[in-house]
Amino acid sequence: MVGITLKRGEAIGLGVALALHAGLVAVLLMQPEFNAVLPPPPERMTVSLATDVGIEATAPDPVPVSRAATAPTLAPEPAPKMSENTPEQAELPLPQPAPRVQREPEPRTAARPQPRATSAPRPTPRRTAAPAARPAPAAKPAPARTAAAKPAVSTPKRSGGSRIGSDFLPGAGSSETSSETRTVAAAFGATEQAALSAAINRQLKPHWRAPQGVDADQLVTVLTWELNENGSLKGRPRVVSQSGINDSNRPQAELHAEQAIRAVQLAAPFNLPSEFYDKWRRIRDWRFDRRL
Amino acid sequence: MTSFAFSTLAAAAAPDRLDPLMLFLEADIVVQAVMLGLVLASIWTWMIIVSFSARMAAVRRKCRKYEAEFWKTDDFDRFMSERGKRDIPSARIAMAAVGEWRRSTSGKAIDREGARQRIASTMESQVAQEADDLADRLNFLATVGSVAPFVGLFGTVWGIMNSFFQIGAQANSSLAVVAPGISEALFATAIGLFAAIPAVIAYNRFSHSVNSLEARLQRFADRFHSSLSRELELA
Repeated sequence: MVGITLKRGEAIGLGVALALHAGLVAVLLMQPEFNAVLPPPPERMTVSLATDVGIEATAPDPVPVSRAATAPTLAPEPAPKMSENTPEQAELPLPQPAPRVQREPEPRTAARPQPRATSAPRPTPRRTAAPAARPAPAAKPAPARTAAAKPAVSTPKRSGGSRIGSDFLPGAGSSETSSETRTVAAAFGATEQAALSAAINRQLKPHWRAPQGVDADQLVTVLTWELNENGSLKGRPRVVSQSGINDSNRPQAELHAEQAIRAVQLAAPFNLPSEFYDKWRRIRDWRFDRRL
Repeated sequence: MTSFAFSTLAAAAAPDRLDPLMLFLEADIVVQAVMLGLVLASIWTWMIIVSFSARMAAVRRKCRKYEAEFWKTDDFDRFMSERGKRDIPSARIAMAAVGEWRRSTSGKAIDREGARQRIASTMESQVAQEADDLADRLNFLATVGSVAPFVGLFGTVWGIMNSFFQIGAQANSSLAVVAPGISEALFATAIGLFAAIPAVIAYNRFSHSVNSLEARLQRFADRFHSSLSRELELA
């Protein structure tokens, strides 16, 4: 390119080439109008993978309140002896089958094991409301009538009836006004439990970093810690157990436990629903493994 | 005005679009030199492309016209004196042959065989001369086509070296730190390819057209030579 004399055609060509390059740069500089609109970043969404699956629905037919367990009201007159059954009483068909129906489920429900230790702490026998409420008033008029028929048999003794009636504890709640005897809808079921543990894991995860090394991914540290109501840590997390230790990862085991404790300390205060505080007051046996 | 405001904003914030000026200004000095050289090479390449295509088209048209008139003319001497001096390859070849013919036949004794060989070699050298004149600038195209990608690659390697060094200095390997430097560095390769691709295409095309023109001139020279040697036998 040194010492080259341009011919006329080449001078024109040089001008054209310069103009083309300048035009290209100008086009590149002017282009931002086209791609100025950036697509909005996708919204973050929280996905909780439920690890527990409830065997049965927590509250298939939820009721807001349940009746308090009370004994039936006593009759003013003393109860007659059960042996003095009059033929009139046998004519009444209604009260007879009712107590049988009512009595039958009792041993079954009593023998039933506690279905969920965590979700439903109060296993109450589930009974139908109609037969339970009916028998007491239905059975009462019959003795009253027999007593009226034979006033001579009346004795000065007080009533021998027990305060604990046949429909003892039909209600599961504390309401004095409701006649509902079914269990109040459980507010904390398997779904809530899974969501709670997912929430704890989600808050632990950013702070949990498993140590690197040979077989370090086999280490599992199990911690237990307690929380205050505001989510802060109460005391120091305690190592319950550690597993997966072999010869090659033994040096990392202590570091593993230390990192787990540190993760809990860094994650505190936990942001957990305060209405379930009694569920996360004490977080026990939390596994810290490679994946958390 | 809005575009200007936008571009200053973009310069202040993270570069969210490919601004060639920004990429050039933020690059390392070596990369800048490489880019500048490649842009100059590209401009020169395009100068050659534009001027050569114009010149080639004109030369081909003129040659065709001249040859057509050359074979049709009745009065050869008058035609040569009128139009022989023109700046056309075919005319120069014919002039060289006629000059040699005159020199060879000016003496008393005519060596026919020697004159024929001299005329042939004169015309051949004139054809080669014309082809060389035409192909004068094409070697630059070949050089740019083969070397510009490597020069651009050199700039890219240098820029990436720099950005890796900066990663080490900042102890931060996030993509936001690495990406702008690598983007600037890759811009050098882009310019190199931008210069090289048209150069290679133009070189292949132009060398082919120079070859075909040379073959055409050669045929014209052969034909003229045979008619001259016929004249030589009659003389």
